[in-house]
Amino acid sequence: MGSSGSNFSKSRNNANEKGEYDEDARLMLAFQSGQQEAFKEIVRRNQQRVYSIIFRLVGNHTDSEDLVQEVFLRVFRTAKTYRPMARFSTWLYRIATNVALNAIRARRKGRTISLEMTMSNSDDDVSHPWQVGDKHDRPPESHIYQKELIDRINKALEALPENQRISFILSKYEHLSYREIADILGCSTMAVKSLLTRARCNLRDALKRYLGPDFVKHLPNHRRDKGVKEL
Amino acid sequence: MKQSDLEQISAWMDGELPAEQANRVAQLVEQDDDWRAAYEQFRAVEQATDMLAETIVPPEDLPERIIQSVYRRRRIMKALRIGVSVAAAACVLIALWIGGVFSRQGVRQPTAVIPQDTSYVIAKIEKKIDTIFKDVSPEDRFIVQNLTLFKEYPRIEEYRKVAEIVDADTLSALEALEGARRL
Repeated sequence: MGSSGSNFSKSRNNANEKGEYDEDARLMLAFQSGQQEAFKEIVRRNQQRVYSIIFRLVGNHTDSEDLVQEVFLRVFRTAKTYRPMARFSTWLYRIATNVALNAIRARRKGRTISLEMTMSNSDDDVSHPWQVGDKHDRPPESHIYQKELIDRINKALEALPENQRISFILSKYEHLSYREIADILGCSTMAVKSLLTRARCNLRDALKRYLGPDFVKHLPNHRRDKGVKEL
Repeated sequence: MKQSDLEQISAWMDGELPAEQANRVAQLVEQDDDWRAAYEQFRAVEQATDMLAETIVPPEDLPERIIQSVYRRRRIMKALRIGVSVAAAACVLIALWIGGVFSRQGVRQPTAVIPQDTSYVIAKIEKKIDTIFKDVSPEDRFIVQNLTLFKEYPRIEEYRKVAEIVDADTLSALEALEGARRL
């Protein structure tokens, strides 16, 4: 699977199960009791992951920076009512996804959020574990092909229904478990399982032209989600 | 393949199946062509999307900018709240002042001084009027008791007639009576 730089992993313990609070929850409680430095520490500890989730959802850096600020402003405002019932990260990611989705919906309604749909360092010559399809069929300028492919993948992800997209991003790139994703989306783990499967099917359909001729003929019949088109 | 089979493969790839189910899916993927094909397709999607798996690095100064922004917006909100409170208080004061002015303009004060106990005063004045008008015909008495109305038309005969028989004290008592009734 992916090699995200995020230090968040599926193996991270849920401290609440042991009757303890995770570090962020303890910082929130300290902030509640008036320690301003605790809030700053929360920002420093979590901004990278929040930024990553938001960037993957909204697709550009300028908006991501503004939205991350919005997320932490909400954390600040709601700190008084915060209760460490769930993991702090779950609570924080729920705020982050809500803020990002609101921005995306506003953009769809016509508000101006510039779309510079490129991932950072996408032009870098990184070795991608691309193994499907016949490499000899690819254009000789492999980096151009890779750039086009990245663009197509981004568009395929963007075309996914909201919950499939969030589930896929949180699972694939942030390495969250089904349980954590379910908590963020407010649904069951079975629903997450279904969402991720449908996301994979939709991505497979959207990208089949780029996954090699052998790949296409193996496609089974399955339900395709409404609105997801081949790109 | 059924959606539920695809879900099994997807969850297996994510490491979300219990050991027993995971072993079953692993066997099916190994032995069954359809299962293997479906798995290969999902794997291809995984490999393709791995291309976007690089770490998203925020600007170095982002944490400080977030903190500054949060505290700046908090200050603005605080100032706004104070401003709104002051404005609301000012509105209330203005409303009270305007209400006071109108109420002062709206209440007509009686021309004669009326003590607080108006019923007592009315009874006393009515008694006085009865004494004064004991020899006056009922028509004239009616005119006198509606003096304010007839004062609006001072030329009419009835008023002049009444004015002749009613002295200044009586007029003042009648006006006082009218004022007291209005209270």
